Amino acid sequence: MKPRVFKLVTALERQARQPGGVSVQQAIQRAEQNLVGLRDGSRELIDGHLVRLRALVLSRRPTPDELAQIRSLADEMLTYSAAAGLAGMGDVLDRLCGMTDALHESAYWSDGALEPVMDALKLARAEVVPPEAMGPLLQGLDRCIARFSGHAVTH
Amino acid sequence: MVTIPDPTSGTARINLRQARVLCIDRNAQGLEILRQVLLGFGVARSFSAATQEEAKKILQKEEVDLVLIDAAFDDRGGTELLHWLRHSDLEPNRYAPVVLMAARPTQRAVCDARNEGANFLVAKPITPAILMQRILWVARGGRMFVLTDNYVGPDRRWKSTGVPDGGVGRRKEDLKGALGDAREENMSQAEIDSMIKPQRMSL
Repeated sequence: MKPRVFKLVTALERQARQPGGVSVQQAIQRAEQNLVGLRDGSRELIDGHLVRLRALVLSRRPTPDELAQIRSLADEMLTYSAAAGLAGMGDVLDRLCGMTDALHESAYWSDGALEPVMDALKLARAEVVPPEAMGPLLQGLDRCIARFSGHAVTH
Repeated sequence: MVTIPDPTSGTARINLRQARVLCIDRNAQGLEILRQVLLGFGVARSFSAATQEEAKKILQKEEVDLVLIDAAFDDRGGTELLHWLRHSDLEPNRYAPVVLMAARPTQRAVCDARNEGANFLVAKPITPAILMQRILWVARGGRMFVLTDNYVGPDRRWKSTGVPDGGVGRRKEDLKGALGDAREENMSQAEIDSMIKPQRMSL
């Protein structure tokens, strides 16, 4: 095939520019309102996943399969957190993914390594972390990730 | 780095009433969240697929204007489906903007998404504001499309910093001629100042 680089005007571009429509701000507000109806269901799903996570996070190092399961649960919970309306939950789940990735790449292990992020999840779910405390909490989790990432095996 | 303007500021409008959006996620709640967000954006028609097979059937049957794929979809990864779509002969769907969604994507995931032709990779959680930012970006257009044996997708080059040292430019606008050697020494700032002295003036 002869390489081709060309200007492409997609249907989305044409449609989005058509007159009418709604203001971007209004569209976002309406979408946020629609998500309120999914809040309770999303919270229930998060609660169920927290129980499954707790069963996977033991005092010993998780096996690669367990790490993959933890990552998968965190991924799904991140999806639900878009509608759950739990402040900080998305950020903490993001750190849980970071922690599983760091452990996956590292042979280093320290007992209780996943406990800080599990505790942070519990706090975020209970909605008891004041907004001003969330930043330092996440920074602490980032330091945990960095500690394990520092031992990462280069493949 | 690309800076995307904050969509919540200003008076910008968007019309997605005619847009057909395909959402691909193995997770039913994930699909419902996307559907509700798109409904809020004014998208009247959205399709949902929970498996590769479902997604392929829809892509073969319907024209879609935007594809949203969960990167963890179907265990084999959304990039596999993206590769299939970009290298298919499904017109115009193969050119449709594709946004991948991933939980804390690794550098490898970002590279894979980029190399398979994703327009964007968005980190979860997908809030309405973030998704709108990305839709506005792809709806703004202006990005060239590349068709080669190895790569099909939007142009991955975001900036032009010139031809690499010792390389040959492949862009039309790259100069073909060779630069000659300097004829004389470069001037120092003091020498320039001695020739063009800044003057203080008052009115």
